[in-house]
Amino acid sequence: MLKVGITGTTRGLGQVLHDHFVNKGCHVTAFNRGSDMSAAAGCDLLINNAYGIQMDILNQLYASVGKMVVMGSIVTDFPDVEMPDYTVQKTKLEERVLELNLPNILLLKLSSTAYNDSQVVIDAIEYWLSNPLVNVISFRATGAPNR
Amino acid sequence: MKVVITGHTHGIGKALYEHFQTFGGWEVVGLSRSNGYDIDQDFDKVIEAASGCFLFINNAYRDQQQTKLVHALKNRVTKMIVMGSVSRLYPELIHTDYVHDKQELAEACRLISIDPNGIDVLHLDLSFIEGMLDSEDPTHFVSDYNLKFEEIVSAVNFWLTNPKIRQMEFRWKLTPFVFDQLKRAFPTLDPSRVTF
Repeated sequence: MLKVGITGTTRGLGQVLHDHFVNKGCHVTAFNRGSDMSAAAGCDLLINNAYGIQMDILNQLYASVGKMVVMGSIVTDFPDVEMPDYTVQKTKLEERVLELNLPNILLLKLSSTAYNDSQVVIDAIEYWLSNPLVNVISFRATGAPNR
Repeated sequence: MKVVITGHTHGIGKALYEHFQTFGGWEVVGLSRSNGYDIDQDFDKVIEAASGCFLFINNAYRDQQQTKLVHALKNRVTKMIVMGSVSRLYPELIHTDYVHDKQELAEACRLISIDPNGIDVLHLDLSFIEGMLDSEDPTHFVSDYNLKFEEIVSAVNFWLTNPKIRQMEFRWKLTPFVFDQLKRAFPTLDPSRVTF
């Protein structure tokens, strides 16, 4: 049985992905505020979703999980002056993923399109699980360019 | 539905041309130099042949012609798939007109993706492709991750059902052997920019 860990499952995409993998019959562990992330070591798939701790989780766990999906953002292509900290964090995260250049990591560059249609995110992850030579998938913006 | 593919007689274009021919419901049109559709010399003919199609696969490379095709067809086709290159991400590493052309191509696709009225465009950043190594061309090398044609076909199929995706980048990684080849071709190569 596939062991899946997901950070930030109380709402949004994390919650949707949690339900998706549970419905698939995977053994899913939710990691939320206060969780001991060392328990994620050994997961077959870790969804590095919760904003704010993504870089730490990437550096701490990339070598000890089977695969990792990192939730990035299209703000790295369309910088958002209204969210400078968010833009900087997502840019550093993307740079680190590309620097590592590991075949077990997928960078998803999300937009509001993806947040509004979580099925496309599920499809992208499932596609990557059988096509690991893809290392970045970016979603189209809707409304403002960087959203 | 009509799909038009440039450069359909070899490589990726041929693989996609044959793929769509096996599918029911597609009218497949291939445009290549061999049938009188050079994307440079016969540019207007190519535009005329592709206008109105459901899917235009902007595959054949010739200087800046791919980017010109994006601009000329962005309001004349329903969907477009554009064959770019991961080399565009490493302009400091490889200084060629090819890399510059692929950068401009990516930017043209990026701008369409933020146009609320823009068509669905998928920009594929392709890496090294198995079976397409040209030993005479210094920009062509093998890597640790060589794409197979079927993986590109798979990406195209995936996108046709998920057009909210605008870009997919394939992994590349150089071997020390390839790095040595690159160093000979490009003496100013910065080793710190290369991932092994």
